[in-house]
Amino acid sequence: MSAERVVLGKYPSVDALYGAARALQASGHSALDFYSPYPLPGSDEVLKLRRSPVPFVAGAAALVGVVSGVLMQWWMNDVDYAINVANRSVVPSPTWMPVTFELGVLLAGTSIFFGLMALFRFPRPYDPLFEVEAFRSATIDALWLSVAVKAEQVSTVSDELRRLGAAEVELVPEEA
Amino acid sequence: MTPPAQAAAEREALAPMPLIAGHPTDAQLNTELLAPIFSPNETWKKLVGLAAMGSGMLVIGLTVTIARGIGMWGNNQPVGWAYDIINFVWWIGIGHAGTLISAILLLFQQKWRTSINRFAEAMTIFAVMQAAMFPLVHTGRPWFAIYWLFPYPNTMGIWPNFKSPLIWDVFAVSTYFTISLLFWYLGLIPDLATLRDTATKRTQRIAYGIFALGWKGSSRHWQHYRIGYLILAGISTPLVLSVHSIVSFDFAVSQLPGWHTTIFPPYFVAGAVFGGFAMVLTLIIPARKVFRFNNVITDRHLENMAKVMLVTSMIVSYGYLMENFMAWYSANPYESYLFFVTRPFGHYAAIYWIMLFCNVIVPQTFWWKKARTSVAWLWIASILVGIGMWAERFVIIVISLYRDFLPSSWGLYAPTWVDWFIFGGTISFFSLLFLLFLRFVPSVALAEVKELNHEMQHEKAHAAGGHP
Amino acid sequence: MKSLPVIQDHAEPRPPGHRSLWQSVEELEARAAAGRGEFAAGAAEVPPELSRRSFMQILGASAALGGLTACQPPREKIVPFVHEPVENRPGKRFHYATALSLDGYATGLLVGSADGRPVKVEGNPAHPTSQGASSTWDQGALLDLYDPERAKGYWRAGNALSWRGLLAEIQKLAREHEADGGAHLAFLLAPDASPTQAELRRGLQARFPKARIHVWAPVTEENATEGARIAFGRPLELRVSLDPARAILSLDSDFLSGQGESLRLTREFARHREPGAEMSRLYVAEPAMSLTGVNADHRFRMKGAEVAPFARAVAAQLGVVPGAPVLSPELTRAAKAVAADLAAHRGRSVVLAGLRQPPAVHALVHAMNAALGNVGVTVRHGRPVLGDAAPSSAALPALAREIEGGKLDTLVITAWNPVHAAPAGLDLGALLARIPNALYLSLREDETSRRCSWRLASSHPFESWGDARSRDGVASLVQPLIAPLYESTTAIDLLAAFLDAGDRGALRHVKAHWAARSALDPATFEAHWEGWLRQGVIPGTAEPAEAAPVDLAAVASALGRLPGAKGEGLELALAPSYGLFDGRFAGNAWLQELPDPITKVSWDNAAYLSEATAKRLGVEGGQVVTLALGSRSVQAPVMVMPGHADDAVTLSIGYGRTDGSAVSKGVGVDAYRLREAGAWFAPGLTVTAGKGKHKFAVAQGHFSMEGRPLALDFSTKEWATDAGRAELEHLHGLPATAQVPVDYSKQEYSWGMSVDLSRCTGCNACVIACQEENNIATVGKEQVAKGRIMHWIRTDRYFSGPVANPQTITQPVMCQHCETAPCEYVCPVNATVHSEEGLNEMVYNRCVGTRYCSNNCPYKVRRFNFLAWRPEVPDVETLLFNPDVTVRSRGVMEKCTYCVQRIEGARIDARTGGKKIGQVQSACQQACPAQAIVFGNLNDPQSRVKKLHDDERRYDLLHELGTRPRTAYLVKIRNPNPDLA
Repeated sequence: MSAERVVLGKYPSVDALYGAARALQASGHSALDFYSPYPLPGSDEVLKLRRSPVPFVAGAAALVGVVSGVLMQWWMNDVDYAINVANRSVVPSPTWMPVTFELGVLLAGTSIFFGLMALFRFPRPYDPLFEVEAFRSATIDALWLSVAVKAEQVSTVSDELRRLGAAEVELVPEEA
Repeated sequence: MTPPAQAAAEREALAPMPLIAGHPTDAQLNTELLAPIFSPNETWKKLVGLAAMGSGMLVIGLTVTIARGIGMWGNNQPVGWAYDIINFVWWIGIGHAGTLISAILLLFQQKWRTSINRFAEAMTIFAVMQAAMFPLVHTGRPWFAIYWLFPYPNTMGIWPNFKSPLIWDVFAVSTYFTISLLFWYLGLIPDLATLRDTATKRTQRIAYGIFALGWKGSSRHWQHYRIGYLILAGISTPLVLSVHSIVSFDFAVSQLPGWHTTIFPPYFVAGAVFGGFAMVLTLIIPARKVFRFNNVITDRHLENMAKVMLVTSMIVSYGYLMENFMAWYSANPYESYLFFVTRPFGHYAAIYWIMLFCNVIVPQTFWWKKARTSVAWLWIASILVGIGMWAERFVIIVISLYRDFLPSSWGLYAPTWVDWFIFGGTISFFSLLFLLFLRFVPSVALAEVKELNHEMQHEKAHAAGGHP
Repeated sequence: MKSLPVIQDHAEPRPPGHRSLWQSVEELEARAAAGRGEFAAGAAEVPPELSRRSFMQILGASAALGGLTACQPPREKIVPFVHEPVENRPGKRFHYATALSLDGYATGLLVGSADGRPVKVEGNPAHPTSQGASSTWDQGALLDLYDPERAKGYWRAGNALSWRGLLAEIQKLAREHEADGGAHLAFLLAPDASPTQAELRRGLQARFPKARIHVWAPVTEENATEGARIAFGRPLELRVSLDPARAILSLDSDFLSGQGESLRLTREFARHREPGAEMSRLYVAEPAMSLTGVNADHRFRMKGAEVAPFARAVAAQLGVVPGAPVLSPELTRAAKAVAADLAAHRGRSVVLAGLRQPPAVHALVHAMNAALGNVGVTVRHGRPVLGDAAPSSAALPALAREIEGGKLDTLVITAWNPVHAAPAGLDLGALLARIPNALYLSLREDETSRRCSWRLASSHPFESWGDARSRDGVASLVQPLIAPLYESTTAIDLLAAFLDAGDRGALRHVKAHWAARSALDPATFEAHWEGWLRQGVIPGTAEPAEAAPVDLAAVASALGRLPGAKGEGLELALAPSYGLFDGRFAGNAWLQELPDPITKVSWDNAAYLSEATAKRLGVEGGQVVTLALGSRSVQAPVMVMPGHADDAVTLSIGYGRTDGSAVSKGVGVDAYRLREAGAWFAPGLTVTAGKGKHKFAVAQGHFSMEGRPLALDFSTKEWATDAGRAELEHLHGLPATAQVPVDYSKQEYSWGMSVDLSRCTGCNACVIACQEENNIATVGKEQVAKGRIMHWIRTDRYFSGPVANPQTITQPVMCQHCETAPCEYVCPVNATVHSEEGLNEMVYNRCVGTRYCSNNCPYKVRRFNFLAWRPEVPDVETLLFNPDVTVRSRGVMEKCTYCVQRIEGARIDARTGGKKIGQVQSACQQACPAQAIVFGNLNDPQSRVKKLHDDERRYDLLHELGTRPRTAYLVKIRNPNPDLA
């Protein structure tokens, strides 16, 4: 089995990019991705991406935060170390609300951030893509399309990309 | 002029000022907005030196406080809290505008947000850092407070008291700082990647590469990123409201006249937005001049912020009014005395009147477009509002404490040099962090401006296509 | 029976001049220098407010190192109080009966001793003068004992002497003086009623017939003595009983002040301040507000010189003496009403004259009391207890003449600091320096010791054997609680040394005196002796009352000789200070810091004057003015005192020390520089406004209640109507609350307190008692000014009515132990919580010091350790600490605990005895001479506190806040004369 290689194509406009992607998909290439300095509207549909799990992660984490907040306060102040504080011992106490809420938000927020990191497999300071000097423009002002192909298909796909309007085509070097 | 051209000109005049001036390309925006990072600025260097020196005051003030005790401050009986909590509330209030601008305006899809949100978020984080210091160092024994305030299992078998607003504070402020930092950093990742790719020096590439975590601008990433960012903005909004509500509980939950008020949570939140926007203006006006950001931070941004300040000022004014009304209507002698004798005519009356002037009168000028668009006046007014909001906290904290229930215990308060050092020190340290931010991090959200630019050009092209 | 506990038992006493003393001082200097560098890193400079304290630490440590090595091991045994168990258990508190004398008159005390060191002073319930109560000065004595700056050892011309060496030197001196009958020998003694000392004085007179024995003190009662001589022809002392008195007229007599028999008088006075038929009525005529004045039902303000005419006017109304002087219409009406009231209470009234009033007024008072039929009921007369040891203000001028005449080679001084307190214009210091042998026995080094060639350290009364008599003649034995902390001796030993008996020890002198006097056989005497020691009083020693007819003609003629009151001009009035008395307590930080009961000034005295006079003179509070009497002047800051007489300035003595310990020096203004010998009032004062502004450290800055229902008072008339009670209905009972109240009724104990404002005189005894019991720090003037005074109990004082002559009310406020305490729920770390018995507990160890509890305390009774008030406590001062109470560190909140350590102590005792806790007294309650504070178990229906909680006068402070305080207040009832309404 020959290794997979990644071929990059730089496109001048979003329409050209999407057109190229659709053509490649039609010719059986599904391992596509776009690179752009800002999110491209409609890219999800073009790339046929599934719904993001991030909202579910956040929701679950918030729930855990809220439940643990209530349990923590009840157990600590009314069970484990029950003490008369200014004759205020109402269960459930409205005084639990702030901490409960904050814990919910804290867990939701951190789970989003670290969830994203997990989804992206970040941190990843090195990527073979970075070896392509021209690809740097992907975060500045250019639109790039990547397609993962078998090593023997590299030249045909490169030609295909050029034919679909790529201003530049680059081959990502193999990982050392 | 031909009729269509005239119509276009008229349309142009009626339309609001542009959010992005000119028609820059992505590459131009890139160069322009990253200029401060790649081309050092002499003014910046001087300011950093100044701020670093000022931060020395903070180090001295804190060292003296921790070595000798809270007695080095002016706090006393009955004024148990003074500059410590004034500064805490002031800074945390400033720290609220950032997240509000960023999160709420994002949720409401206000496009003008993009140019200023990074500033505002950075300001939030740096302001919360100043604020978070005070709850810790204002305690008599910070070396215990630093962990006794958290629910950790210990040999004493004792837990924190979750009925205390100070515990709520600990949770609220630490949550707020964490979420704000993550929100800010998440927004920063694409821009750090841009920096990594724009930089030509190897060290810069490596440094920014580490912080960019490996961002490539992949659409598969953008998909999760956008949703995550949006949800984070979504939960940040109630978080901001909750944090300042909880800060207001520090007072509202107590018995003290002037503190014991149900209007505090909304009035504090409005005050935070008010003071926070003022601080954004105070910072952004010189920054855009020094770094020539006029293209992206346009007069329209400034004007919008002035409008927000006008609205929030009126909410705050309503709060003042209602406090007085309730004191009168309840016929509570202690409250009446505070609101109708101590505040307007007491020993610290001047500070009360400064508060009313800065927070109620000054923003009224923003009814006039001339005032909203005069950069100089905006800057002066924003500074006045900052002073006014500080005075408000002084009024709430010190003026309520120095004369409470038993006249036998009334006593005056006077700050010491340590109080001033710490206050001045936090301003300097905040400035230092902010200056470093301007120099090393894209201070305008690059990816978002490019996206906006793209959208606007798209719209323009669309409009041009629709009406040839 | 047990032997005296000691601190350090040395096999051999070291000579006092041992080299180690000097070594340690040097060491300490080095240590102090090292210590100064400690803060150099962060703080560029040590703030000035701390310098006094650091200075004291350094000095204190020097004392600790130098002094303790020098103490003499005790060889005598002392006997604990009668009710104490005899076995010695570590940590167990023993009480020993002893007595403290102030200007010769004794108060019987019980001193609590923990592990061999006295830690708490209480009144001796068996003693007629104290009746279990104690004054601020009695309490403060303990701090004097442990003062690191006390005088140490015996010094002659800068050279240390050993005790033996000193005795030998004195013996030599005595031999020399014996030769010429003591013609060149004189004594300047402090007034003391000690029978043993009286015997020694007789011995001295016998051995040195030509020697002069002067007795002197700054505050004397010679006016009273002289007045009695006029009225009765002989010096009889007035003995007052306020219990039967229903109408009391005080002519500038501050009988509640803490001097003399004030503890007993306060108790008797307070007992009759509850509404009812037994309630007394007090009239006071005086210039400045005194403690007695603030408790008056009617207070007439007048210059000191106007008191005599007022007294004559009253007397004229009573028909005692003819010829009423012309008074203002207001005062005429007052005199008429007072006279009518006194006459209406014939035989149940009393007229008292203050020690500042001239002899004629005292004579007139005797005549009035006789005419009112009070003799034998409210007043009795007896032979003066001090006898030949009564102080005379003429002593110092006489002594000065002797020195100037070159008639003195040796002068023995036991009187307190004559150089400082000498009359103005008499430079006694320079004269003392001319005497070859001036021997000065003093507790502290002061202005006088600097001028004397011999400086002898005096033992503290708690280290000494002796005897004393109270004002009614009852004798007490003075027994030591601890071996002398420093090389020091007593007046008895010193006087005995001149009789070649200095090495016998004070105990033997005292014992010998009482053995001879009792005429008992030795075995019986021993048993009696121990009984006296246990009981604190020697039975059968009270002076009997003597019948004495008043010579009305002599009184009238004395009155005729009185100079007429000058209508014009300013009068200077001097007065003893409530904190420092005549200045002898100036080294006592507790008493320095104790706010004046009326003006609430701490660490200062001031020129008090009325608002009208201040306006007329164009001066304002805090302004520094020059007070000049003829050629003499002092600079003093002005303070406007409500109720002060117009055209008069009051300045208290005892301040403005130039020498002595760090605590005493430089505090306030030296009023002695304006004082003629023995004079209290002086006309012709000029006040020149200066430019300087003085910052007072005032513990209570605001004097008005602002119309709030805080310290409540009603007149008897108001109280008799339902309106008065109706007002109280809103001020007690269960407030509306969303919380379900915790039910404390099932607990065995539920602690509570009550404070009766009718009884409270505002004397501050509770404040110092609390400070002593609970190891409360003093903070110094600068910190008091900053509002950081640490007292757990304070006496709030409010004025109402016109500033010219307001009504005053005093209200002790301590932690109220609220059941729904606002402080508790705001504490983030659970450092202040509630006990099952209803105490609001403060957990120092847990406290992180957010101060939120203090902010949320509506009573502002919480005290925060803003700085390390005691960063390094000198070793000797640690002996002072009550071992049952934590010493708080900086950064920690503290407050009144209802003396929880006493509750727990009682609980331990009760458990070991298998009983219920009986009576527990809080420290403030125990000291209170007025019995205004009552503490106890609210769940015991028989307890006094429970009854007072159910009293119809009960109300809760700030009841409307719903805090449900456990401290109940009882409203003050005033008893004004309807004729003066």
